[in-house]
Amino acid sequence: MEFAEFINTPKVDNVMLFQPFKNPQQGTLCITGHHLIFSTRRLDNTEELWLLHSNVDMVEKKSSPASLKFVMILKCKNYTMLQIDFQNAEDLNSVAMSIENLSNIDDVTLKYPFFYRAMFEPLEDGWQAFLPENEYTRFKECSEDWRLSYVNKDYSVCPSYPHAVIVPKSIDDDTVAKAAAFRQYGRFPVLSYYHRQTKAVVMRSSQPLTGTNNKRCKEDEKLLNAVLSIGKRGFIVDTRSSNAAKAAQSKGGGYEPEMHYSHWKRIHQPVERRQAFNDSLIRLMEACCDYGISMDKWLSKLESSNWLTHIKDILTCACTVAQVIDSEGANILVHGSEGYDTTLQITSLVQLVLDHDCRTINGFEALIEREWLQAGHPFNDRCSKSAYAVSKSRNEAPVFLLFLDCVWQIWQQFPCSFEFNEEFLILIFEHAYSSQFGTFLCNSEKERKEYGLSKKTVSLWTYLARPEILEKYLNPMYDPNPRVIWPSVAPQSLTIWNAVYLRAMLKQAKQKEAWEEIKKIQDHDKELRSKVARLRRQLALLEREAVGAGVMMPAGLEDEIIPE
Amino acid sequence: FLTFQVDNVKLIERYVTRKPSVGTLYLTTTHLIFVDSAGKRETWILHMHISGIERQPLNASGSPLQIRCKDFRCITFVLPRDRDCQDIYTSLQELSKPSNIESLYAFQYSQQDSDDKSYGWNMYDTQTEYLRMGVPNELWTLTNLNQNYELCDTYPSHIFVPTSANTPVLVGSSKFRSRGRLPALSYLHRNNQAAICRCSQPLAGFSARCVEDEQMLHSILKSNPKSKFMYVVDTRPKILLCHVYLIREYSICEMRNPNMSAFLQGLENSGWLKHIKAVLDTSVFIAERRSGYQFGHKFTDRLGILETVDAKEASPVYTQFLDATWQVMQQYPCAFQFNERFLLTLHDHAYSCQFGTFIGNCEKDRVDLRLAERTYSLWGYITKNMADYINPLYKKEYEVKTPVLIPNTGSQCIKFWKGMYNRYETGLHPREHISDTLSAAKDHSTSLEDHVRLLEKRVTQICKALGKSEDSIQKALDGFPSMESLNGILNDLPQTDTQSLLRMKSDEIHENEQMASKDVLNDVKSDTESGFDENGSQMSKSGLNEINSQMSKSGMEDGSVNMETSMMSSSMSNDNLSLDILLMEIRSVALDWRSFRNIPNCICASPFDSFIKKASIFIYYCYIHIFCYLQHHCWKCGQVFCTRCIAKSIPLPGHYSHRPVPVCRSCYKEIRHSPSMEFPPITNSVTS
Repeated sequence: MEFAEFINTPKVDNVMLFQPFKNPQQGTLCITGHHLIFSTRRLDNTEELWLLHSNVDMVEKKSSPASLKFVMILKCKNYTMLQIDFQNAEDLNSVAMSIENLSNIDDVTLKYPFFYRAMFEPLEDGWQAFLPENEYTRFKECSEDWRLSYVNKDYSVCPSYPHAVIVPKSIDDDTVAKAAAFRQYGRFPVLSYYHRQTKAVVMRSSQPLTGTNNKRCKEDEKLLNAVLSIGKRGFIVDTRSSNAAKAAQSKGGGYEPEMHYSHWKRIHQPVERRQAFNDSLIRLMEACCDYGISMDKWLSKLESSNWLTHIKDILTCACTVAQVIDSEGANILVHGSEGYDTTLQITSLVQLVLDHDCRTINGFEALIEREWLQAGHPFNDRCSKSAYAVSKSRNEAPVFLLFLDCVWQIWQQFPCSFEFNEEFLILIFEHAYSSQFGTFLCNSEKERKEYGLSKKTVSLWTYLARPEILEKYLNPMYDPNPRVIWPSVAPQSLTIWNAVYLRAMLKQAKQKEAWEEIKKIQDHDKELRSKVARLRRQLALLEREAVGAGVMMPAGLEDEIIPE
Repeated sequence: FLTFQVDNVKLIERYVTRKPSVGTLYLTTTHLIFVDSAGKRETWILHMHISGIERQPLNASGSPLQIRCKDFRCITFVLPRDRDCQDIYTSLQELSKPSNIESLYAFQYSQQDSDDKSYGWNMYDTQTEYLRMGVPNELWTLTNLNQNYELCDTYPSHIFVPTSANTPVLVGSSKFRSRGRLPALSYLHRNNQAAICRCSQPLAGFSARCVEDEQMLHSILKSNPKSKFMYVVDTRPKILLCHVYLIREYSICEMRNPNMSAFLQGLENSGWLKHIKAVLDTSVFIAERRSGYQFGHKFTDRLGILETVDAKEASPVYTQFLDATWQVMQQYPCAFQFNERFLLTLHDHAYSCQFGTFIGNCEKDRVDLRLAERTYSLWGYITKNMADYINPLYKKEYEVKTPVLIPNTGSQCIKFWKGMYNRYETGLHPREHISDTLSAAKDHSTSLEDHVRLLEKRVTQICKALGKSEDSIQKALDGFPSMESLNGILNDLPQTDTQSLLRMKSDEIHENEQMASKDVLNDVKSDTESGFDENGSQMSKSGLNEINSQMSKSGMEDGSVNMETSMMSSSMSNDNLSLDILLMEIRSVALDWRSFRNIPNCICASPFDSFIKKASIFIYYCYIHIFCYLQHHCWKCGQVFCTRCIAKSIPLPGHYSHRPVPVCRSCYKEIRHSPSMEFPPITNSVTS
């Protein structure tokens, strides 16, 4: 195996492991192709820690030969931290080097999902669970005006789109292909969400390539206008500021000018770009990992990180779109520049706010599959490194994490409206960055097909489909809420997601305990309810029998005790 | 009695974007009341809660009057005439700062029911509280020196001091301390005998010493046999400054449309959180050193401590204390018996002067004013409405397992308490309250448990009447249908071989049972489902609820069909067991309670406001008006009502224990008037 060349020291004895909120442990460290394994090797209770190399964001070495301390600190992409103390410098250097190398392997086919075999019997194949075709059949019942188009079946029209997309029925594939040429990376307007109550739709695309000489494309205009019913105006929500949109023209991009898109009203709801997200995350984690920081410093660092400002911007934009859909019933096209980052945050949050289906576990998985994986969010580019890594490509950005954070903000404002719990969101966050499952590998459906992921790897959804796993992620407070939920975007309502960013600082045990208690109360209540129902039925049977046998008298007072 | 009334007044609240409501403003001796013209919403402001009144420049719509309250509410009234505005302004100025302590609201306040005012006053007696800590013992003793408040007029009459300190030492030490507040025992940790004492600053000047005071501290040190050190914790600069911070805190809450960074900056500038952290740090410091602090596990602990807090002098300190408690609550959600609402109530009442508890600066004042005879005690009020203040997650074992909570005081864990400072900005708060829903679920469970006991009794009774064996009674109780009833329904089952039938797989029996029950109660199919797969799928619940809300009705109808078809039989062997009674029993307990969500109004049309209810939890009483927006369930029909509509408790026929439980008015009437009530109804009012 080619990993062997990276592993100089496969096994080190007598190391000390330090983890937050746990007692230090002594044991043996093993390095394999994909894992760092720590075992106490005690006979009574062997505790093991398995850490994927791909989860390691940064390896830090601190050695002071004078005091015989050789320390390795591993900062992980899920914001946990480990410290391992070695006996000598050679072991430290060799292990640190191996992990450094192994955690930076770029070749997709060498990643762990290709080597992972499911230890369980799959109930359903997660790869097949949310195909565009399935989603379309669900949606077909509601509207006749849309069709499933296979114009992109060989990914030639738009490499980042799935093989099948939903477009207006009156538009043929040729027009679609021509419109695609007018949009950046061929991301032509497609249907993202259909709101049953008002029959309004959300579409998404990338920016039009108007450029400096104001090019136009009749097909693109036709495609958009086909969506509008007579006499109705649609809205184009641009996630850039109007200045940024104008500036994009010099690079060949642009926006839809009023004169060619007269039926559409353009709104600018600026949200920061990827690079800003990335800087924010780095600063946020810096503040979060600072032990003994003073109150003033913490607040000023939190403020200058701008992380919560991004959350507020994204939620505000999503709520604006949702409001237009829900109260005005107008159609909306959302785009920024490339249309696979901020655009997806907005379209997916809109659905979460408007559609109660998306707040169930299955619905949320479908949402991620539809709006992120199939819509071509480049997970491989965005999530291969996180806040601690020193060297990063320019494509890195916590776009998906911001989305999950926004979901969490809504979740904590409506703790009874979601079928899943906080753990579920954390699980998805962790697997997006490092996983044994193939779901979040690669950048698009095209690449996934080329690597044969659905054959060679297991899907996260397959794992989650099993009842014993699913049970851990159910929200005991869930009470289905078919209404639209309007989150508050006021600064007082937005808070730091402790369980993620502060997981190495704050012990979550007490919160977990509270949730267990909640589950106990709710389960007990349900149990009693079914017991009462059972006993009442029993009584009804016995009653009948007793009356039949003549041991009980059916008195005739019923009219008086039942006032209507 | 309404003294002053202005029509066509506009009410503008911060953060409320919808257009201002127009209505009538009433000024009474105790409250400022605004009723909007639709009559739907009433806003009551207690004069004592007003912290600032400001007349703003006259504009086209009228003359605005801005009122800021001590409970962090800020309201602007726009009055059509400037003279009215001036009148209200001057009278409010007077009314909100009564010069005489006797004119406080507490002395006028009387509750509707003629309850004894003494209720609650003797709940927390100093001596009993100290007894709970295990004093007096051989090291700490009660001194009589302050019997008539000679030693220190701000201390209670009973103070505990080290046994080894004699009278001259105590007197000397007291003279050396500011206002005579000598070191006295505040809390003794039972497990390790470590004590917290409190005292005021020494009047040391530059070089003065006091031998007696040093002896006093020495004897305190000696009274802890296990320790050789004593920590003297000085909190001075922190408390002196915090008044300033509270004022800044006000300003943050008032920013109209702040963006994120302005908010965080504001927070930073205010330094409030810093002080909360400082306070926590100090207490944690003490806790760690002495490994014993017991940060408020029980009502009694807290309240006992609060008794001695002089509320009016130290207002921000008090708010700070509550905030610190809230921070610890956030970190230990299962360790506190009370909830956030309890803290808010304490905060509001420290200012409202509705109850005598927080009036006066010390025990001496309180005795002088004869508060116990003339006013109500807040503790009495809270005890009577205990259910509203209980934390459903409270775990009793915390008292034993982790008597000491050591909160994390890292800056990252200190949060902004929006429940307190932005209480009236309803839009900002979580829209669904876990704790209210859970409390309801707990009540619901209690109701059903009681009902189960009765149902089991009835099943046994009928089985006995039918002459069944103990074994089959047990089966019936476990939910398996009796063989005889099955035989009647399922002809294809072998009638003779009962043994093999019993060995049938349980799910098969369930199937049969389903069929059987469909036959008998054709409309309650959902129950059968819920019995078996509710735990597995929560998704099916939405449909269930609707069906179940009709459950009692349909069950009843089927039952009556049942009765009609059955033969009249005169050989009634079982006394007082008729179908009527059975039906009434079953119908009197709601199987499902309606969820609190999406119920904007009570049937009496008073609106439930998701968060205002927290504020108006104390019932303003003013002649006829009692209102309170808390949501409650009727235990009989399971619907949601406001406090006003759930005014009665009555034992339900379907409950085994016959304990009075809250019901709505119509259900109350129904139960009262049912002819076959086998026990006399006991009326007992829930609210008071």
